Amino acid sequence: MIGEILKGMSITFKTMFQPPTTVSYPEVKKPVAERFRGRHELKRYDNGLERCIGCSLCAAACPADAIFVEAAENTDEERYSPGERYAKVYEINMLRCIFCGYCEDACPTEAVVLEKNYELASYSRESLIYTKDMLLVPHPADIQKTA
Amino acid sequence: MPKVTIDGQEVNVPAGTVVVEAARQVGNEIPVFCYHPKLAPVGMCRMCLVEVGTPRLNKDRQVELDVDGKPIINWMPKFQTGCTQVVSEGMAIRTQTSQVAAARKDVLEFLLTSHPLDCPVCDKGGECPLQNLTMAYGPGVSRFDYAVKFHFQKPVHLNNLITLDRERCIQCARCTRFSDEIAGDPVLGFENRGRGMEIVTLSDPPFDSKFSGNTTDICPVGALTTRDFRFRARVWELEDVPSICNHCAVGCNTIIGQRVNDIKRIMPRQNESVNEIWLCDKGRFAHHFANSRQSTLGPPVPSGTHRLETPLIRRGGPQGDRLVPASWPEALKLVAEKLSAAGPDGVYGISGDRLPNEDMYLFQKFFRQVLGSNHLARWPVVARGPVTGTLFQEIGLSSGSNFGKMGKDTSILVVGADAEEEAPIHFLRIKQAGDRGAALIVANPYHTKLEKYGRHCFVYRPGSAAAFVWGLVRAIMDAGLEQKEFLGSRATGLAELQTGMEQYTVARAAELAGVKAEDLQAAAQTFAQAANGVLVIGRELLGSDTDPALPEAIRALLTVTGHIGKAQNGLLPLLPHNNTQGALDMGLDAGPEYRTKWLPGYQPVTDKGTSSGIPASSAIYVIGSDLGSESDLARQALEAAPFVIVQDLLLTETALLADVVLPAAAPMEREGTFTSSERRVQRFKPALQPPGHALPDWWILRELAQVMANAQDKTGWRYDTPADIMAEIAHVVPQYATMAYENLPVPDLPSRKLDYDDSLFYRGTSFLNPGGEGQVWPVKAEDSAVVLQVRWVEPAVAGQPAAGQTWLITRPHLYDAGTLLSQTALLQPQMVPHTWLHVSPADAARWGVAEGAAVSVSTGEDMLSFVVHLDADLPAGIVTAAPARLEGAAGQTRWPVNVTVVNAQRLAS
Repeated sequence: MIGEILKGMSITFKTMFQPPTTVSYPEVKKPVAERFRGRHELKRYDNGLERCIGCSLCAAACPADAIFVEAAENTDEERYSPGERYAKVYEINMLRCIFCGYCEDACPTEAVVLEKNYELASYSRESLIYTKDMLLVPHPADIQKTA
Repeated sequence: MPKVTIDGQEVNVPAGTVVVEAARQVGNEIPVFCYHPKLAPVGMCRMCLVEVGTPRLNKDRQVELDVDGKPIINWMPKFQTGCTQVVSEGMAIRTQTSQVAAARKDVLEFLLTSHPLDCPVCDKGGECPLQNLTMAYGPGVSRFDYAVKFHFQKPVHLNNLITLDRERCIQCARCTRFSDEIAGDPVLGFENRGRGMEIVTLSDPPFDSKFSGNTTDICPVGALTTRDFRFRARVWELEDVPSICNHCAVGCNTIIGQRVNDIKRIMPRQNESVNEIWLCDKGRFAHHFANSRQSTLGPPVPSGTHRLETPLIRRGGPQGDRLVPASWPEALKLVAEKLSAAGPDGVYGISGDRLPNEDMYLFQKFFRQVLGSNHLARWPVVARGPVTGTLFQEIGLSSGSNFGKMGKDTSILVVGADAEEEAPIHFLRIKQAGDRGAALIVANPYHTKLEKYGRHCFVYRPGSAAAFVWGLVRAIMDAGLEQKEFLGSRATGLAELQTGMEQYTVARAAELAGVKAEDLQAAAQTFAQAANGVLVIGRELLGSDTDPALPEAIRALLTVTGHIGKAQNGLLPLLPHNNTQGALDMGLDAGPEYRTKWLPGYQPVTDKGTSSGIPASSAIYVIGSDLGSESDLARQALEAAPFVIVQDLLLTETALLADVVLPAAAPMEREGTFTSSERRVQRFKPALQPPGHALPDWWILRELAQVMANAQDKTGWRYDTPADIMAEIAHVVPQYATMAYENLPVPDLPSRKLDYDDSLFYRGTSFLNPGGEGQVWPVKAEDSAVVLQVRWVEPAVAGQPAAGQTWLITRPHLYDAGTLLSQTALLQPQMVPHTWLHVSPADAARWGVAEGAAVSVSTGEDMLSFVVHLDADLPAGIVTAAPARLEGAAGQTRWPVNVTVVNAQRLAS
């Protein structure tokens, strides 16, 4: 019986002097896997136009019914995306989202991408409905300004 | 009936059937793009290629048999198009071979070489035959280089309603054939050749058709889409709710595509007895009144035209009287107090004719039972003249009639009706009947589009319709063409009629009506000799100023020809609104004296009431009508009334005159039934939530009755749903005895045509109607025991128009800028404002006025101001204006009337 206790304690003493495997989140953040599926982003083309054309295929593919899209028509004066159509309203309900990535799969223009951010906690349900403004990556011109 | 073998299955099909249709009968789908069962085949798309063979014949023209005793088939060396190949006796067809499959694959690959593949942004995506058939029959990859696709600039707006994307077009010619063959508007055509081939519109204004929206339904790709639905939703996101169009009295079956409590689009629902698979542009696009709202959370602002969301009560304040929001209990209490105080003789009820049957029934019941008053009327004034409901329920179009089945044995006489403007789908179907061989006789005071298809066409003098119809009767009697056998048992008064008409010869009638006597005789002969005859009358004859001889003339004409009491025969009035017939049936009829005449079901009123004209001293309750904006007379009465209650959707001009405004739910926000002018009762379902605190009219009336009945008897007002009200109507109104909801077709679960049945023709763009086609109640004449009384009444001729005179007549327009229609911004270019006076170029030159000039005309008694609009179709000497403008106007004038120009803005010299 003493033998078993010593055997068990030897593992305890062995690991006691090894470096810890836990990290001190949030001070320390571990890198995520390359194919990690986190918070969505709506991407832009290099010229700053939105990739999203408001086709609603992400919403159709979504098994959790978390995406709501309303489209509208681009005009020459007010152009958001190449072509005729853009998303006037684009909302993802993060409480519903199951991060399956089907939306990304369905997207014909590679506009919606599940990125690495996983820090999505919030204090209210309303604030967890992400609107287009929140999802859209900043315009290149804006990035230059802030840089 | 030739016997054909399709994929080894033998089937007998009628001679003249094309292979595509024959294959349907054995359940083998032949995919098509250009073929459409309502259109003539052209063989444009080549999708329906099949192998066809005919039996080999020997020298004696006998079928040669092989060793098994089966006919030897000579297979044609190449594929045939199944849509143009007509079957013949013994024909063999192979639709499922690998060669056919390869041909389909190649055709699709070829069609897609010029297609932009922009399905994600295309409004057709999700219900697109090209998508579906490519999935089913097409190749997975194309050998053509995507980078060298032929591109057009997109989009092109064909008119203010329809958008064309030329890249997506596969040149099937469905739209051009629809416009040419069905709508009779040959305004679309192809230009250029090969890959540069494109649809162009040839008319000015472009794509000038009242049926343009239908081309988007039948377009098998996303080339034609509506601007109304452009990018507003994807089709799979819509909730499709079966409904009935709430504009004209045709009663077209529709589907409302709803998303997030907003109507995204309206599409036709197939009903072969009513609208087939078509819908006019008004029915398709004029739905924006329902969505005409600001936020449902914001305060209801009593201005503008958005939907009413709470009751409003007029209150005094520092800025004077204004309508302020109030709660329902508050508003109902005030209304109840005022109505109780006014007493039975101090109240007056005016109902619009757009409400569902249930609401109109409760409205009259509220007046008759709760208030004990018979002071009820219906607005508008049209369809309130001598030719009214009693005539329709006596000799109306018999039940079982269907314009879609009328052909060579039928004659359709259209008098005083511009069917295209008054009831576009009736126009479509009358024209279609003409194309099938029915003899159309068209008589109007001006030229109408239907004349193009008429066998006999007349332009009679304004106001002489009765003379014209009596002329036909006399010509029939002269020629001895009356149905003697029928008359012997079914009519009385014939001898008196003949004596009365002694002096009234065909020549005299022709002279009075301003038409040729021999033409009149020829038309009379056509109408009398046809096995079936339908008389279609329009707004011109339904006015309150119509000649009192007219109903007698109509009854006599249909009786002597025997065109009553059997299917495909009778009188079809083109009533002004979706439920004018229902208003008549529910006892909301009233003559020009504003006196109620009938209880529900045409039972005579014993207590006639005392009112004559809208009494100024009464509390007036207006429900679903904007009479204040249509009539000066009504406006004056409303202004003078001590208390006015208006129950409506929008803050109309009438509502602004009210003391209490009650917000009502729109037709698409509640359940109910409408009765079409064919007397077809059809149910519809709610598609939207009413805005704010708006409630269905029946609900408001029930609540009001319960408030008022506090001290009285409360029984009889316990309706939980419109079904309860309809059950009572079925009990009270004999014509509606079988119309309880459980007997009416349930417009539930509209299935898309995705399954086999008709899918290959309509796939994705039309809706089945599994619930049935509505119930038509039979007219009196259908009972063979009913004896009809014919009577001679001398037509009153409005006067002898002379050279140089100008006659002002009423003429209805489809886009009449009414209260509901004007909410649709998209249709504004088509609108015909009430202020327009249509003038022929000859008269304009004579008056020295140009388009847009302000002009005042005098009728001798009244002075009316208009804006001149030139109309090349009008004969000289005739000017026309909207019925709402003329019939609602104050004064003593009777229409038509001889007018003189008193003040005209002259041409700038």
